Amino acid sequence: MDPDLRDLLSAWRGGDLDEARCAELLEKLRRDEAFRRAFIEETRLLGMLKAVQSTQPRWLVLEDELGWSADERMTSTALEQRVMQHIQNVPQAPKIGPWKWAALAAAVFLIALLVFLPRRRPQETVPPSASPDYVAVVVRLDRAQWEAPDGSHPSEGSPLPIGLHRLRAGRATLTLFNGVMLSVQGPADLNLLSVGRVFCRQGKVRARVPTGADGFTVLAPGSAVVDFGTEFGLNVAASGKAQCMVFQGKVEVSLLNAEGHMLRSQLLSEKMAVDLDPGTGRIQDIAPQPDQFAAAPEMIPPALVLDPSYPDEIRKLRPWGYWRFETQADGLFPNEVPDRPPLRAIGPVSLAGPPGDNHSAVFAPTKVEQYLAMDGSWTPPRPTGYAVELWALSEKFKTSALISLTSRADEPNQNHIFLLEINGLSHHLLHNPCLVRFLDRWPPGQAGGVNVFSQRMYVPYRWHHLVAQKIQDRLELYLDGEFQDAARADPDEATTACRLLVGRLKTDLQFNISQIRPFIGRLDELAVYDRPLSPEAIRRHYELGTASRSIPQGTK
Amino acid sequence: MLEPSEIASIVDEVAQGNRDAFRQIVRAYSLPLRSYLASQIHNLDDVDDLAQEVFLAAFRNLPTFRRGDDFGAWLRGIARNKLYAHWRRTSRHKRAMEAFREEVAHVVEADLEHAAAADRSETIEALLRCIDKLPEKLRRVVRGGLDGEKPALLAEILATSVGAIYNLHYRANQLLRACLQKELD
Repeated sequence: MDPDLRDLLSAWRGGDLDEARCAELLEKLRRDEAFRRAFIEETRLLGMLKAVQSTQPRWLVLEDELGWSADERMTSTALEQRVMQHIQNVPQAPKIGPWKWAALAAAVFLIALLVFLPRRRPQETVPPSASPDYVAVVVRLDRAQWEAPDGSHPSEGSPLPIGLHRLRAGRATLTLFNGVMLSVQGPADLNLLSVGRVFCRQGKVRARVPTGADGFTVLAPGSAVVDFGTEFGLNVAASGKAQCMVFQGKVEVSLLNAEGHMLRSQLLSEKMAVDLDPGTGRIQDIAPQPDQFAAAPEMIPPALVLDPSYPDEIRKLRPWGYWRFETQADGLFPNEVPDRPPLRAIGPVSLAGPPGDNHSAVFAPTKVEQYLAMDGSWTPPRPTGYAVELWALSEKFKTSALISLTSRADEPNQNHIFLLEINGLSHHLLHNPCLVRFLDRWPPGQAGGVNVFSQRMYVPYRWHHLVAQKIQDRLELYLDGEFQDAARADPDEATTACRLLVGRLKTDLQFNISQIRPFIGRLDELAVYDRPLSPEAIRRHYELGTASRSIPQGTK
Repeated sequence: MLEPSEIASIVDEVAQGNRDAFRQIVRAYSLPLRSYLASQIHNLDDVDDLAQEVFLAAFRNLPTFRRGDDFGAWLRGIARNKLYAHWRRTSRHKRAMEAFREEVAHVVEADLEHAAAADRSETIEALLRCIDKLPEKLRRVVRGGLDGEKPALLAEILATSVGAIYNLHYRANQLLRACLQKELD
């Protein structure tokens, strides 16, 4: 590609150039017809790609001028359904609520959709291979009764797409891809608009919003709650009246006018509660009554229940190192393989599990450094192949390093040759969010390498079996006994002695959170091998732990 | 695209008070118009805001449209005016790069208009099928886009350089053009 064309396209698409270079390119564009033609060809195609890969928006001003939308503002449901159908063919839902609230709700909903919904083409034009727009996953159900027009009943572990979800009774706890935990108490109509916005037409919701997801918004007919990093509850009646209480942190509650603009707002701090009445336009302080709101879900990680033969199955394959996390003494987790080094706990890594049952390593939320590091080194035989196997349970959708191998020869630099991690939501990722990532990098470094991503997402509070391995120049990733994907590694026969880190990308507090990617959750049965594993062995190991495939029931 | 007789009929209907008839125009020209605008400004929100302004202006000035003329060209003429107004607004408040982009737009205006005259909704929609046929890496780059900081992020994720991302997109565009040719033959 002609460097001049590349620079011009880069500047045209939002990049910067210095003044002299701009002048040079403009001059070439004026005098060189072939260059001009090539540039136009590229920009036209780029424009088409952008338009065709994004949703055609609702043009409200145009619709108002042409009088198209007046009849559809009679009910919120009609408008909501039309917009949702435009986006992804959501089935029709029965009309609810008095009409005097409908226009208000419609406007709120529409504004939210226009502002916040990802811009996508209608589903009918999306290629068949495109996956639905998932934004959350169900992590816990308590006597939940769904009421879906298509008869679907999401279970624990089910991903939920953008759209309307009705809960007739019981409670459902969801984790959105941005880490927000949302508990919904039925009867509730909840419309997932995007990963950062939900519309609650009626029902009780309670949101726990982690750092980084601030600004998460729950909309209701005529009102809205914007989070400032907190935990809050919102009860929405069918009439549109709502009550909000802050359990921790701070929120801004607002009443909205018929156009969906903020009419009045109020900041609420911890233990404050208000009545929101869109009818009278009033926000009124009330005595906080926590028991009137949806209860906080007790998310207790389940134990990893293994078949008793599991450890022997692993030992039979003669791993180079095998850490079971059954005992801890002086901050050391012993290696099951004789004469091989233990893992040393840095920070408050602990053990969990009742006496006599399987234990696991716990990485609890903390602000201090927390990871496991192996004393000594392991030299993975990269030319012939090696494997890393473990069980992991994450408490969050969050980019977190599980296993890192860094070159000893490059220390104190922490140059990776291997990384196994789970991903969270990132707007610049090319793959779907919340996948498992295996990175092989040679020579050791801080950038580059070859990636393999899982086809399926992981689910918080669920144990997953992971194997990342290299077979000569082939990289393979397995999740829960199933082959996910493979890639060809950069050709090289070399290897080096490595430091093995668990639960963190890099050590040292000087790095920011994205550079250390601390893991929060539980890990167990870590084994590293000087050879790759067979698909049958991987499948077998997973099956020996299938008793654990349930979501938290307070078993540990 | 609509035939001149269809456009004439819509103009008549709108003149008689049937504003809903304009919907056909929005449907038929939305994608080519948004593509045209998106080929010149990178922010998608700006693209869609301007597209709405263009349709509004077209609706309000429909009586001035000369029957038999190319309606798409007329629409793009309005779009150009909106684009220049947009650049004037942003270059006053923003940076020299916006002024540079406006200057580039002036230089390529005639050639771009000539090329865009051939753009049809069906052509643009066929791109979706062609994207699907690209090799995985190229598909990722195409879906990632080339605006603003995206090339740098793509480069990081794909473990390559920003220049390589542009080269990959360039290669992808060549394949897409060849695919479009086949699709539309």
